[in-house]
Amino acid sequence: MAIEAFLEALDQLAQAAQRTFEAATDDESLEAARIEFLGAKNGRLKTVQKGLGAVPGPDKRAAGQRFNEVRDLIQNALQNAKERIQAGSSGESASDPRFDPTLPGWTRRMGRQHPIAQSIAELVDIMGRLGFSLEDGPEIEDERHNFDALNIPSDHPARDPLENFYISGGDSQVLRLLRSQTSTVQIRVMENRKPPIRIIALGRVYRPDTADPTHYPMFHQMEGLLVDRHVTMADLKETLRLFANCYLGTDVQVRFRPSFFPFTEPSVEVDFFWNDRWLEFGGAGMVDPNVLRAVGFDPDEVTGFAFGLGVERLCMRRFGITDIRDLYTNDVRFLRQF
Amino acid sequence: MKVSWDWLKQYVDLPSSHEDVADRLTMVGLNHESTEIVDGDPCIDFEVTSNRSDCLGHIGIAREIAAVFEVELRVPEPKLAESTTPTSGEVGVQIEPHAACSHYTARVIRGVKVGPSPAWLVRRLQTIGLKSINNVVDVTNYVMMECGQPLHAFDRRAIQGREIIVRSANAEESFEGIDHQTYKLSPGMCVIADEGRVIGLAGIMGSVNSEIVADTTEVVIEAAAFDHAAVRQASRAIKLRTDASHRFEKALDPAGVAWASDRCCELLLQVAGGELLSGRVEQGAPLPTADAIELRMPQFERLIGISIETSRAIDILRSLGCEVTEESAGAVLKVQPPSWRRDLTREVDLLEELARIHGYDRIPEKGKIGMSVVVRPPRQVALERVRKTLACYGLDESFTSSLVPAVWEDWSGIEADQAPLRVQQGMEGVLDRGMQAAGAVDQLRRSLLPSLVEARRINEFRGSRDAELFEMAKVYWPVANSLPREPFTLAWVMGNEFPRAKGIWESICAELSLVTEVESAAPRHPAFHSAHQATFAVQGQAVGTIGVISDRLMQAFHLREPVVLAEFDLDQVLALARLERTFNQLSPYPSVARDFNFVLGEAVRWSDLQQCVQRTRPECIESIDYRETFRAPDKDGADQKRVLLSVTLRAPDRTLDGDEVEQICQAIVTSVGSRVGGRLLA
Repeated sequence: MAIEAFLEALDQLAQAAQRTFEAATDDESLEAARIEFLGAKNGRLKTVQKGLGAVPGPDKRAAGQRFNEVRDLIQNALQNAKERIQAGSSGESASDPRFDPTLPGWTRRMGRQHPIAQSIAELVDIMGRLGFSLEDGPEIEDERHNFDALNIPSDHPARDPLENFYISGGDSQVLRLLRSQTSTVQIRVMENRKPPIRIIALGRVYRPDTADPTHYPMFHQMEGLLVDRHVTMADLKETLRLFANCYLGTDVQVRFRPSFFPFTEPSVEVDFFWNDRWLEFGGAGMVDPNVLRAVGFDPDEVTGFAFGLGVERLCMRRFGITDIRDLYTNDVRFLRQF
Repeated sequence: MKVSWDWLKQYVDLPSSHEDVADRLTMVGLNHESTEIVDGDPCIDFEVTSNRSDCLGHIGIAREIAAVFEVELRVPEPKLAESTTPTSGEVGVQIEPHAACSHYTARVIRGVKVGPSPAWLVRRLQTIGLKSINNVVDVTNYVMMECGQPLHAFDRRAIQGREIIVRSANAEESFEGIDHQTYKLSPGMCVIADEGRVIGLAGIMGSVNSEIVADTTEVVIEAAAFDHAAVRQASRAIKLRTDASHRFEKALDPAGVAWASDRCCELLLQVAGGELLSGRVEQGAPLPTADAIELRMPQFERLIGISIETSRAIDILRSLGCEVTEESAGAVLKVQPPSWRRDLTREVDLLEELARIHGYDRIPEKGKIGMSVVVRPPRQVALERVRKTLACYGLDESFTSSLVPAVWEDWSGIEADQAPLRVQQGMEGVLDRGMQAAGAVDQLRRSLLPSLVEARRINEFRGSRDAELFEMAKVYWPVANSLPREPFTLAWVMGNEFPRAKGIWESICAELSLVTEVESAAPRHPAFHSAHQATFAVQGQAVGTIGVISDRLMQAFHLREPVVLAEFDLDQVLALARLERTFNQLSPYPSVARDFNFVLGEAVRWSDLQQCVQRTRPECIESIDYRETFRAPDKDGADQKRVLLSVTLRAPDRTLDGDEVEQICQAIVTSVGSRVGGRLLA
């Protein structure tokens, strides 16, 4: 038995004994308490004493000393209780200077969920309530899923070797890379399922930015996708408004600004009007017909919308974090704040 | 793209304040970055998305304003006074095969007077942040900022011979730019050369050897179309970005080359005088115009969710430069996009144009999608339970990088036949200062343990010696001819208390209704201390290991104190988890507890002892609780230990009477005696 465990058992015993003796109101309850704690055969002090034998040699002396102190303490408590009861003070006293409610309570430290994990859990929860189920996909991808099927042409700058972590090891002849976006999961889901499709994908993505207060070469994205007959931009706006209302807790106005992404057409940037200002949320748009065709859907039959956002940005805004690198340093003084 | 408010007035009657125009343009796709008043003239900076190269000049921005505010756009028509001397007598152009150039034009002006630019020109350039150089260079810059097509002026004297040759750079060729920097070129980069030397790096910068100087009298004006990917690659390779390369990297208007050349010469004659030779010398040709696009009007509502009048649609498309004709009584429009809008090739592209100019604010925040229900996948539920259990034990969740230095895997001693996956370039700026020597961060990790040991080290170094951390993330194993395997993994690092670590694992198993056992035949895991480790199995499958850190790993990371590490394959664990609970009938009868103190050989494990007890009367044994182990070699002999345990007895259907309890106790003592040689201490 480690000395720490032995000392802890002793401390607990001392506190329990003191409480019990102080609570005794007559000879009978006091005797019961005496047997419980100081009983010669099965008293709790005796039981703890047995543990002394198991304390490693070098610690024995300290353990023994502490044991003696606790024994004296308990015996004193018994004596005090005896005197108190004999003195015939039957009722409880109005004040007890030894009772200090300002002493710290006994706490047990709970571990904390990482702020990113908290944000992810919240996003999954909200989107789940809106009917979007969570899908997973590989982090190491091929070009089809990271680029081709997403309508990113072969000469597009997004494919540049300097913009991606291409895999160099392994025995495969096929070009693979750490996915640069979670849109890859859209393609994998659409390849294997027929509409209606209503999913989110969430996870790690990778781009070779040098780490600084606002960049990290690994980060997290959430991507939503809805494909069905008769899906319009109004549906996209409604979904994002419901999301925003849920996430921000109040009724929020949604704004679209035109933008450009290869995999959506039209493409928009999405802002939420909240606390008297526009907050940037992320990108969105209607799934490009080329993407639908790439997975074997007919754009004249089905339409769809997609949206994506950076989890770190939401998380940092929510918690007031100013340096993204803090999220990946794992200093417990940081982690324990959330 | 920075625009001068004053300059824009040349093309469009500005209908509103510059603030309002900036806001409205933001809402049609030109994101307003900032506005700065330069000498009384507002300079407005717009972000231009990569598909909109037409907005990299003032005319393009003015066209958007005209479309949004429904006002007229005025594009100047260059009027040239040419002499009778043909340009072709003075220079020729050759585009070599494989040169990344589809169209090259040259014009020549003789007798120019190089000097300062007129005030209006200086001022306009100054507003958008360009320094005035001289009248010739300023005009080329001015026209680039007017229409988006970059131009270049060469001093004719510097061109040896008659021919301007557009070719691929030779190996070992180098180039001194007008910035007086020397750049090493490589094949694939497109250069402008004469018979002997390079006089310009196509689409990026001219050479100092042919720049316009004070005594230049004859200039050659280049306007060309270079391959956008080639310009981008060259610009990246030599790390040189210019206003010209920024534009050439996008697909520019192929028909804009001739206009820009003419416009440039028109202005040059105005500000620098001289004689313009007759005609453009050119090679290559503009791209043929694309076919007209059929736009089915009902598609607008189908995709955007609101309707638009056909007449409004036609107005919008025409204001953007499209030619439109109506067919099928307005149900279909035939649309010929302008040459400067190479991004418009499909019906859906036109729908986006209509939607953005018509206004996304007209789309209601109310759609028609129905409710849908999501069943939470069991895996997600199980994961939450794992996370909560770890938190209950005081472990903080950490997130560490999937890429690690290769040396970390050596330190942890992973033994595998296959080499790990690596990426072509490492992550920059992610290693702690104390770990800089570990090398490139370019290996996909196959274990979370080194990352957690590193996090523990950083915390130790920063004064938090009690950091106990867990992480749930993927690790990566190569698979021949397939995407890699990515097992979802749980790992943690904590203080050096193996039983506490095991308790965490047992609690996780309890949450998932799993029974776990120590797998005694498992091979040793090199990241852990060779004696103090245990592999755990669930339903016969080994799922992970808990143990004290190996000396090697501890020393490599310079940990001050030993730690206990644990790593489990969560995919395996979660697949076995049972989440539903069913009620077991409670026995209404009292329980009886009995303590036993056995003297046993050191080699007898708790699990053996427990089994001996359990097998005696399983239906009456409610629990077997380990209390303590003592060693008293002087009394019991060496290699002996005393194990104190407590057995709780309870029958489901009756009260156990004293005799029966005695019988069971006797059976326990007998079983322990015969099976593991333990004797009850009197």
